[in-house]
Amino acid sequence: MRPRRSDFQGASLGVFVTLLLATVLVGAFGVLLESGLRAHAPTERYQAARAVVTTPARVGLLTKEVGSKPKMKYRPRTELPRIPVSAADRLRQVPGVRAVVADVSFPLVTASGPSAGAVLSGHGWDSAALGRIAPSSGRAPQAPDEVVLPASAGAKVGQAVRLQANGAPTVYRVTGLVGSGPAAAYFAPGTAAELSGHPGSASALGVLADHDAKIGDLRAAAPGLTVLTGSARGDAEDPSVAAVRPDMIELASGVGGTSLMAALIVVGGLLGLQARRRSREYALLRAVGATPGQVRGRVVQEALRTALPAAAIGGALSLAAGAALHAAMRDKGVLPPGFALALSPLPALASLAITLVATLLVALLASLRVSGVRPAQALGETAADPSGVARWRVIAGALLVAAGLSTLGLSLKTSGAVAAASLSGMIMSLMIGVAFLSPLIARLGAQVLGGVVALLAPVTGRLARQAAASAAPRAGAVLTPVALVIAFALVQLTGVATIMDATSAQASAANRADRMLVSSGPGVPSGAAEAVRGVPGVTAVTPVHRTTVVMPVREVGDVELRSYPARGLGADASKTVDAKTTKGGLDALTGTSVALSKDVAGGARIGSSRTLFLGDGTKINARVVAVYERGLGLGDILLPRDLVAAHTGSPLDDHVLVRCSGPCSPETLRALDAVAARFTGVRAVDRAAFGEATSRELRTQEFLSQIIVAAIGGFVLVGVVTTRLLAVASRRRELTLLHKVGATRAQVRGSVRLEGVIVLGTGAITGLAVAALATVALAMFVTGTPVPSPPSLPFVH
Amino acid sequence: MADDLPVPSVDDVNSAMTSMPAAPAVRLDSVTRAYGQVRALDGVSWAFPPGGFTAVMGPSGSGKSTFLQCASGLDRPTSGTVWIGDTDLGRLREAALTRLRRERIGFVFQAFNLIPSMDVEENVALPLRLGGGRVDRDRIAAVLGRVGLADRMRSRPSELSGGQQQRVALARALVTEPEVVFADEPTGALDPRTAREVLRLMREAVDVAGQTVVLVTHDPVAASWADSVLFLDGGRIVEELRSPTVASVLARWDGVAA
Repeated sequence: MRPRRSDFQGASLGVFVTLLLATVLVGAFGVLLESGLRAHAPTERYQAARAVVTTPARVGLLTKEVGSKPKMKYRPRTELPRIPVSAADRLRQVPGVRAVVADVSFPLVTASGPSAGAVLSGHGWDSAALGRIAPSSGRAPQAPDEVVLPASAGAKVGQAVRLQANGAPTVYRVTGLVGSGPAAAYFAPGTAAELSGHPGSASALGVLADHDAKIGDLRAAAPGLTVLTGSARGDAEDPSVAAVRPDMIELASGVGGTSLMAALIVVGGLLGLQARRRSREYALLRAVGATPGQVRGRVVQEALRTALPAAAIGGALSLAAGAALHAAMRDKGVLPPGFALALSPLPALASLAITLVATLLVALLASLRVSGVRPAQALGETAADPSGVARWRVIAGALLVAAGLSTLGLSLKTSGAVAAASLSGMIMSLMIGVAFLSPLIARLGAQVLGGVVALLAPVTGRLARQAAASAAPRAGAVLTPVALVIAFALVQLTGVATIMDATSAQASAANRADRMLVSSGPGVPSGAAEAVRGVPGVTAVTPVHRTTVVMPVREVGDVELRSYPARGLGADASKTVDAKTTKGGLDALTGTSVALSKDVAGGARIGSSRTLFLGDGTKINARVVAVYERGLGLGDILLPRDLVAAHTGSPLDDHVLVRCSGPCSPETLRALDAVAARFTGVRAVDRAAFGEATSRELRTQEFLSQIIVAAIGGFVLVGVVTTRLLAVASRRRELTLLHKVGATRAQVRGSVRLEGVIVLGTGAITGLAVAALATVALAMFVTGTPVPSPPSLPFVH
Repeated sequence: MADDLPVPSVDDVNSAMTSMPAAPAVRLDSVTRAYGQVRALDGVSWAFPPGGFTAVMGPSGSGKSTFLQCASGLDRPTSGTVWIGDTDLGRLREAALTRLRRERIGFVFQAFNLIPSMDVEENVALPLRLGGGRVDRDRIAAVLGRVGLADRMRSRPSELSGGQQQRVALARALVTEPEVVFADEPTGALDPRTAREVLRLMREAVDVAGQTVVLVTHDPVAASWADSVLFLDGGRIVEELRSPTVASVLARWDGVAA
């Protein structure tokens, strides 16, 4: 059958718009997903390398579960690795290999001249060959105090410049300039190895080889290492892109799933309303010889005829939306700068297919109503709304609400990732339950709210109350999306706000320092902490080195590998950090030891051993020395600073905690400022300024949830409007009659409006109830008190 | 069925149901339909002769609609048996009953006879299309020609007058060449001239094509087109009037309604 104008009227318009927007959203996050799966950081410094040898990009662990086969679980490593330079020897023996370069990489800050404070990456001059980099003027660095700078740094050949690596700024002589390429500075190889802090190891081995060199031979010559070629070489240059991949997969599937579910609830309501409205048409079809299956097929076919163009247009638009989303997320710092956009028709096709399949399922569900249409209804004068609620609806709805409430109990007892996961499941099952029970809720709402309305406006209010009560199934289709959008938006925004506030509060409470040394560049050189230690009046100095640690945890019986934010704490940690330990103490955090937050401790005893993977992928067995409560503020894992520094790409600390004996004297503060001034980009700040910087960092998370709320909330609102329009349209005859028998036009309009107030109000109250349950549960396990934080206004930061 | 088939009188059929060689088109045997405590039909037995035009009349609430629904297989009686030809409807499952309605029965209702989103040709072809068979366009054109709407094939129901809509409905009812056409107040919403045209077409279906027509109506004029009029009251058949005229129907009607 051909599509017709009438197909795009009434419910179909609402179905069309809702499905179009849902497809756009699913496809947009699909673009993000595909970019995450396929995009590599751009290959710049390694562009001339035939292959780049590095350690595996992910860490793996064989997990054994009762009753199933052992399975490998993986997580990405987040930091540049350390490879012994000696590993290059065997690669050099491979036929066709001309040279193997041990590439080192370390952050560098310019400390003099017009570009002071600019961040460069430092390398040995031998690495320049990997990127076909040659000096545009001058010559290569040879002496230990010589350097080649990018032309953009503004220096001239022969000039002396001050550069700061992991110590105080040092004077170097510029021997050459590089015209193009990334912002990198090149030293004599020996100097570079020294400055990287780890002489004898490299972050990657670049292989310069003829085209006949076989990749298989290279692999054989690098046992235990990974050989990257083509665009994958970019991953070795910047592991941050590969590191966000699993998060992107989780995010995209989570948002895609939620928006699809929301769309289906709206579309399900619209199709149900449509089927109800057409029940006479279906009865006529049945009377003239259509089997129930044929009528059902017609309902499904009609839905698909609307869904197909919606999904096709939505799929096409989703590519543009995905590109826009990617750009916005990169601007806001949610995505690392090297996270490139990968565009292909795949997300558009996938979102089209997903939308169509989902619509098919919902349409089949809606067509079940047709079974209740008796052919004799074709003889009836009017199509009255059947007042009964199907038993399967009540049972399914009650089961889903019960399941949602029981997960509420579960999330109150457990904590951490399990609780967070059960929370979203709980909201979904509550909402689908509400959708099923909506006619009953509508009837209840008509009684309670209708009573109030009837008191306020005797004539129109009573009419409205009767209309709302007699058309409970119709009202149910309207109130469900209202409840959905309110519950969803409140839970999403309040949930993030609650977690953020709790994180800020915990971070502040866990900080016992009076002053913090912070950096506006890549980090605080380790020399700074040593220098501060000598300042009179300072009793404790703790350098803090952040990283990401991968650790196996048991979740609902399964062992999963998870990435956790972690901190390396230097000396005096017990004096500067108050982790609120419940077992053990931070004093013992030395050597190969670990302190765990209660969320990840999983009942670990002091002195027991835990397996974990450090930033560069090194597997260690650490002794548990403490269990603490402030996991949100400090991260879930605390390690000795020296252990972390030995296994992260950058030798720089993130900040240094400084505590005075009693309140800091003005002399001490001045002395601290003087120490900070010896390092470029380093400042000493007080607690207030430090706390503000921490919460600003956290705000990036809010941005994403605001986008999600705006997008999903937006199309659900479209659903609300169209559903309401259809619900009113299906009563046109009744309203005309009301007008004919003597109601003034104003009274008719007033009663329609008040009916809307009753129905939408019931939906709003239902949504608030679901949101209240969920956010209180969240607040309980995040902060221990049942008080969620109010969300901040969207898009104002 | 042909024109020259001897048409037995209703009396003959009803007095000798078991021994009739030519089976009645529709037969009800002690049919009762109860809604809770209310008996809308109360033990009704009747046989409609093939090729006959019977009107069913009665005051509101007399059970006319229930009678039509049970006789046509739209509804199932609480007790008793309904035959269409030699098929016992009570023995048919829902799918078979649907197929029987599609193939052997035509329906014309008072209103909402046509699917608004389909044009005239598609509405008429609906029973054929639902049967899954190939739609013979000549047949559609012929039946539309019979009701005088051959030139309106591409019109939508909303573009037609009430009388034209009912003629399309009649064409749809006749397109499968059914044994029986059930009509429920088909002229109820039409002006007398338009109504006459629809009734003439039904009369033609009986006289020319030999089809059986059962017409439920309030209207003595409509009833006067029939061969015989049944009067229903309180769920029972109370009278039969053969060769009705408007005057005789009105006279009986007063008797029933009194």
